[in-house]
Amino acid sequence: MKDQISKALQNFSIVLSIALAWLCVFNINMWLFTSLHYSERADWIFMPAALRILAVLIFGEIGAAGLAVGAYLTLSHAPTSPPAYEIGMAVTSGLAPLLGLQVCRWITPLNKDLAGLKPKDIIILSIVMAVANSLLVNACLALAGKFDGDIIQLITIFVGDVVGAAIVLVAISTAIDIFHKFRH
Amino acid sequence: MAGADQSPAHVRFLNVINALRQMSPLRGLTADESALLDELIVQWHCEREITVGSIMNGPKQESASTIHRRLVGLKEKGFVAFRASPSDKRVKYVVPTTIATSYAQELERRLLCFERGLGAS
Repeated sequence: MKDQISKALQNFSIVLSIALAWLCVFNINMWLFTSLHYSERADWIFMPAALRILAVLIFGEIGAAGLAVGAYLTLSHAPTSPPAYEIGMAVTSGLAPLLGLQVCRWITPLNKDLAGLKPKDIIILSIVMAVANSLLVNACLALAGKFDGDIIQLITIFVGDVVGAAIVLVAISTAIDIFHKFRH
Repeated sequence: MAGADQSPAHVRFLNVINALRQMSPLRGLTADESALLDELIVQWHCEREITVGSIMNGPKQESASTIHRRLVGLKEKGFVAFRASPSDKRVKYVVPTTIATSYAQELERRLLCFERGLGAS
């Protein structure tokens, strides 16, 4: 019983941490790239996409739950917006990277513990997750009657996710390298 | 920690960090790794096979572990590979990769161009 409570608390803290990290990076992205905002759900650079990759790779479904919560926190919550639509949009943010990871496992073999993970695997993952996210978000919009066939929006979400993830991941890798150089 | 595949999250985290580190644009050769690679190119030209042990225990003032670390750095950056001896798996040979071979060929080409340039003048 104690173990279960401890595990539940652990999972809750992971979900909360990822959600807060998402909120933080989302707001930084909005501040830095306001001019690259295409529509309510599409930006030409979307840095939080990197969090999708990291959260799902490291924490699996718990990570995806954190992403969904984080995405929900960033929605506009307009009075006219149906709750089902908002929940659907939040869920796609968690579901898309999980689907992307599954598809990636068909393309490039990934060990369960990610041993031997290479940069090219992360690049493939970011592209596949961007495709999955773009399709799922627009499918959700279509179901809510908010998709007007705007192909540019589809492309924007894809490009935004790929470029945003690249910026963040290269920044993280450079920071790690600099840290290691100073340590030695 | 929980995860889709039940392998420990800290192991997955370390493997992700390791992969991310390889994406760094600062991952060029260090001066020491570059010097070691140059030595290896000379030895590959003169000898058939070089063992990891012979490099680590060679006539240098630096410790064997320091030299081993540089060898591993060259391996991670794709310049060398380790090949086990067929007769004794404990013995590992240091072999050049296509990147190291291309590097040596490019060096030779540029030196030849330089010599021709000097000869012309």
